[in-house]
Amino acid sequence: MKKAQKRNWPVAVWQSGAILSIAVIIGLLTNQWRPDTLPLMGDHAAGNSSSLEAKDDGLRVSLEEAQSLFFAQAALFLDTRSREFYELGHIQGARSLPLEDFEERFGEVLKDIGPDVFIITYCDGNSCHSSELVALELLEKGCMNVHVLDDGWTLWQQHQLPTAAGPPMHPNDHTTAY
Amino acid sequence: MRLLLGGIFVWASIYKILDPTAFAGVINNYQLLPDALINGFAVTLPWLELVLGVFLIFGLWLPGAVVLSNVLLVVFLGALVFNMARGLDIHCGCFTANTIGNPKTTSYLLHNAALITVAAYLLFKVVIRDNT
Repeated sequence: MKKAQKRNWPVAVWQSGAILSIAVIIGLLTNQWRPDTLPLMGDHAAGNSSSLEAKDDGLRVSLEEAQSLFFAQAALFLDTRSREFYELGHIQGARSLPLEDFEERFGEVLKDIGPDVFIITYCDGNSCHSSELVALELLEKGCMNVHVLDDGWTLWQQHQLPTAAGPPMHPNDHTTAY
Repeated sequence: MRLLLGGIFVWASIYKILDPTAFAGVINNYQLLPDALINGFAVTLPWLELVLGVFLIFGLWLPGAVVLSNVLLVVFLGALVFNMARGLDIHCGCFTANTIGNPKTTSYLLHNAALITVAAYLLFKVVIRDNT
């Protein structure tokens, strides 16, 4: 207890700084020594994510294409994020089909949609895979025209394209741009 | 309490140290840091967690380790809340680099809040109360 009484804020501050310095030095040295050294000045520009690299697999659709299809009302947008994020904001007319609810809600959400309809799935962030996974599920279910807009929600907002918020009017009423 | 917090820091640091590239991707997804700083953070932040965890477990420089733990956890919580508020459903990247599936942001917020409670208790016990 006597020892504890010596502890005070100035001590805590210099100790914090020292711990931080130790960690930074170890981190930098370890990085230099490891075979897969990570360059300290990496390129993390949009679409250059290490976790989801831009793919030319025929599944992706560019923002320009998605935008054209949106304004031509020639595509159905599916928001694969969780319902809470959909309600905070989504592409105008998009329907909510979260990956975790796919089996449960797939039939209901797409009951009026033919297999040849152009579908664009999207989620958010470069690490988001739910749009891709939902798209692959849809292809398995027989949908023939399914595409993914990578990092869709962020890109859509950045370009100030039409958005909406809130839940669908009622469970079977999915206002759609399609 | 410090063993719990220290153990969690050590555990959380392991995957990040083993795969800094994946962790850099996680940091990038937060869209909070400029590109130039992302790899630097990816290389040093995991070691900060590990060193902090070890110091907490062994009771070394406890006031400093506890203060830094609080700062770190508050920054983590702030980043999660900020991204949730702007509707970015990113993965936490707190304990795994896996970015597939539902991010479960709310769950991680609760985990983080619980950790801050533990850290705040330690702060009170080690730094504030012992300083009076």
